[in-house]
Amino acid sequence: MEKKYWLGLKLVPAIDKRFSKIINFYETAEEVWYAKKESFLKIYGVSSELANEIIKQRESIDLDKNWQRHKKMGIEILTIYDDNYPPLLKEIPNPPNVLFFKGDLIEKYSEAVAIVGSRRATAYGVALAEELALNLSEAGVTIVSGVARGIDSSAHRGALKDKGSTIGVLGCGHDVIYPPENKRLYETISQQGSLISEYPIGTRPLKWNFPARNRIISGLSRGVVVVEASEKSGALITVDFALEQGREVFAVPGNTKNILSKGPHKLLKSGACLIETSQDILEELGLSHLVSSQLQTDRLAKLNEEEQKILACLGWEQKYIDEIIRDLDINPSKTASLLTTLEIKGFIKQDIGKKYLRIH
Amino acid sequence: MIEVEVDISNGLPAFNIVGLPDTAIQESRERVRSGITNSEFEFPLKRITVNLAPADLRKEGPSFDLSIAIGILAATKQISREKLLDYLFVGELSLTGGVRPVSGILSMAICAKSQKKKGFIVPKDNANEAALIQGLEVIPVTSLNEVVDFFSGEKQIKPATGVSLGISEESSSIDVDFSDIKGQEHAKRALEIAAAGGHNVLMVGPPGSGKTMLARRMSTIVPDMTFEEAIEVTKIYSVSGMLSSKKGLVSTRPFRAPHHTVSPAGLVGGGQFPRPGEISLSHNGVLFLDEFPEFSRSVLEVLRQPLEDGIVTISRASSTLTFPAKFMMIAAMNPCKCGYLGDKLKECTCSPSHIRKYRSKISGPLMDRIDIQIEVPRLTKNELIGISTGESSKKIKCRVQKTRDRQRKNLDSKNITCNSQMSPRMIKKYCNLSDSAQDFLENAIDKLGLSGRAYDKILKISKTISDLDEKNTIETEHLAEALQYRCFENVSNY
Repeated sequence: MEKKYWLGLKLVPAIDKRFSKIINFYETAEEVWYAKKESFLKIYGVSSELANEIIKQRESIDLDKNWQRHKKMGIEILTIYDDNYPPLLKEIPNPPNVLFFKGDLIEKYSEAVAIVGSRRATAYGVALAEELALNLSEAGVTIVSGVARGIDSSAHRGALKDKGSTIGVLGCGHDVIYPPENKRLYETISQQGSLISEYPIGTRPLKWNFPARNRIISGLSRGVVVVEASEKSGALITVDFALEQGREVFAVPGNTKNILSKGPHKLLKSGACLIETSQDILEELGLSHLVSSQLQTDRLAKLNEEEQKILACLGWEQKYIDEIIRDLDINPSKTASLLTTLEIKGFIKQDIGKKYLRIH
Repeated sequence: MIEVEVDISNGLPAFNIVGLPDTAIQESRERVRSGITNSEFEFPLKRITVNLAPADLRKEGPSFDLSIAIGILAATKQISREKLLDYLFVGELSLTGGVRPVSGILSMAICAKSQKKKGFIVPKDNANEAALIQGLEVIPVTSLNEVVDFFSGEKQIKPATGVSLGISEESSSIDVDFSDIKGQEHAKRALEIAAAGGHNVLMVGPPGSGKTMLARRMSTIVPDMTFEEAIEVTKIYSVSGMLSSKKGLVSTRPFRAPHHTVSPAGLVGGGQFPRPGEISLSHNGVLFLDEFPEFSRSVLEVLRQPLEDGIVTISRASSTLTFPAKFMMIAAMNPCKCGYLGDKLKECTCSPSHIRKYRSKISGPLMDRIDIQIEVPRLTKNELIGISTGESSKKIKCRVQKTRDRQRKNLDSKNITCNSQMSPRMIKKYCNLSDSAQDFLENAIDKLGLSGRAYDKILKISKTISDLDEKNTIETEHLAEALQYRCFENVSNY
């Protein structure tokens, strides 16, 4: 029942202002919930206006109804006093007091790496984030990200591909699916991994929730990998938190002409660790014993001559289908058919505008 | 067919037309009066009553002028009456007694034949059109005098003979060609497949990538019309009064490109007396809709039923008409609102929600009816200068024609002539996959996340590709190529 009162405390915005002061003054959350004004005034830093506000807001809340709603949605509560609260997160300067979560991975994961980046990623970024996430999760590392569009979603997808584990950190309540197209991803993450938020349900995805969420993303992880970010990207806020929390920062270089490479390149210039493969991350974190199980070595050998020719023609740059047709002088029908085969075999990826990119 | 009855009785001189005539017919009194007097016949100063039977059907247009004039002449015995009933008369009179062309002749000729009339008196300018119907004596006339002379036997008029069908002669004179377009090999191939199988196409690309150019050249590679198809098209153009007097038959497949401000009635047809709309005018041809999402939602949705059925039924208070509308739709649109999503040269400024909103203007059911979706990228300056041009339309058309003939033979069904018109049951019957292709398809559905809707489309396109390849079963490579002609499904990743 104690958890119910923790929920109650999160629902009172006035308490949030002095949360740790108030909670440390009392033994249990239940006591806080039923505390009188006089008792609040004894706490250092709580003015009589604040105390009035707390009591006013507290009275307007139907705690039982809210508690039932959370239970119905399968949302559980983890407080900073619980033993299974993630130890890494506890170390950060301003840890969330309460975590609302779905899926129990959060209580038991051991090593985690965050992969973050632009919401408007290119095909290169999407493919790379997926590959890194897949390889890391094959090595047993949990992938943490923010379930946003672009790099975040692809990091989660990559991790889920091979039944890997992943934690999604939300900037809103569990009842809001943002962005809406990620509904399926939400469900899969909460089944196979964990979906967490420091906000009770009913909290909308407000602008200022996201920097706060970013501190949790870096806080849960040993290191933060940045794949494609512009200079003003929110991913760089996560990096700031990571540095403040003493976590490793990794950056994946990109095409110098692409504005989405500016973020990672800026990090690299100021000393972030350059990442080419998942192995680089594992080594840097001292986890090199966790070798990614599936190394793709002789997959290329299985392709026929024409397919290899197409891969060679693509190089590692995006090319329009027409460019491939012209460069190789194969007829359009044959090229189209070869490209589909390669896409199904997982060597290349299609981007908007009929552009192709080699990913393996 | 309308029967014109004329009665002349004693009484105050008057001239009345009954039988629900419209204004043009009311005015025909003046034309008939002047026409008769100026042809040096006598216009009776008696009470004239003209009845257009059946009396409960509304009639419109000036095509009754000639029949009314002949009726009056017959009633006053100024024309020999014996053979009159064997003929059908159509024509507008000029004040001098000349005969002017009218619209809708072909349908009338068909009607005349089915009513077992011996001959058909038509304005000379319409003669070629009417002469398309075999077994009907088509008498071209230029004036009222000629008609009278013809029936009195004073003048022999040679019946117009059907013009031999030089369909392909004309199409070669079109001054656009596929070889005008540089690059776009993928898009060209897709259009070839579309032309061969009659598939609808959606082209997505930034401004200036050549979508319109490609679409305009579509009419140079579509296969020639059969005689029956040409007659169907000519009928529609004849009803709309859009036939020129020189050629009787519309011999090239129509290409219609309505502007995106078109109204629903303008597109499917309508009006107090329903007239064919753009979709019927593009029957057996190509309907090109440029700037697809800019068409109003209601206009796009009315396309759904004709796309499915190949006909459109228009009901108005006065009448209900069914027009054929079996057309191939080619639509073109930008990938997003600003137009530059996926472009190599210019950055797109749209947010994902804008992109989704823009694309959602095309509803799912409508998208389901478009088999082939291609992306048309913009060429850089260097590419525009450097690349050689591709095949000529003639070469492509040759392959397309062969494939169409093959399909017509394979499908052995009366109602459909190309692969795109296959129903789900026919797909099951005619789309035979080889074993390896079957495995490949299952794998593809898994890996590429194809929906059930996409499945039928892929099979139809594969069938056309295998026809182009002159194979009877669908092989893996055909399927693999068909999978390239879709692009809307994978937008959600961005």
